Amino acid sequence: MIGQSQSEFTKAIRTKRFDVVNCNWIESYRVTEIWRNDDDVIQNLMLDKKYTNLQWMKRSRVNDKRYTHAIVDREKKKTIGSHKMSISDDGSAGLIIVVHSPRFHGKGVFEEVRAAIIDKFCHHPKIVRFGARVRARNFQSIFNYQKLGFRFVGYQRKCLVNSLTKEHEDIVLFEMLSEDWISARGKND
Amino acid sequence: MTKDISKSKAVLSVALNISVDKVDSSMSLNNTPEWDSLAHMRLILEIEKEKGSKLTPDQVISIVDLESVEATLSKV
Repeated sequence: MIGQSQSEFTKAIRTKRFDVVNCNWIESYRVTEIWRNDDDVIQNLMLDKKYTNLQWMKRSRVNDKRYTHAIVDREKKKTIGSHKMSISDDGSAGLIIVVHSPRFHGKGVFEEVRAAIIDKFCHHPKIVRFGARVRARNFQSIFNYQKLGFRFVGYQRKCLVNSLTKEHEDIVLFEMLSEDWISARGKND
Repeated sequence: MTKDISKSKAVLSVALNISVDKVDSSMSLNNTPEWDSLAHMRLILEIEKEKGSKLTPDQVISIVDLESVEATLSKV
């Protein structure tokens, strides 16, 4: 990554169909407003539905270890989703993506946006691996991680209490090392 | 075995919304445009419907092509 400054990671990313725009704190807060009370999204993100606006505000903070990107449909100039990344001290980057526009469900947004973000952030000085925890019943996300080439690490049995059904659920774990991504994509820049 | 193959082809064709005769053994989630995330969800649910039980996470992860669909359907 050497040679890339922090500002390099806050530049907008252009994909085939979208502008993936880095958000400031307020934008990061606003971009989640549309799905904050959506039961399906909350359930799939394994979040507690009872967050207050203040808690959402705290969760929305951004810095050199927490990034939020708005996914903007370039054709309609409309935000259709958001992507969040949190980097922990051990160099793991946790990833979350929400596509709130039904028009884009099943249309490959995950693959296009996530690949572009990892292309950039695999060179981030604080990231050595990307990891994801996915509800075992979230088949669409599982498909997306498999398609992108993430390694299935394993699963944790009954470690999540579903906030809606109150039933215990399994969680599936995926990972991708930065070096493996770079190697697989054949990019060494 | 022939019965299993025809069943797995039928399940895959329903999930991918294509005719059975277009389903072939080389199909996988990496090389089939119709096999998107929604189709994958339909596929898992179809398999569960056929089996009459929920798949384990291991089984869900294993489903990547026609052969794995067939293997999952044939397991009791």
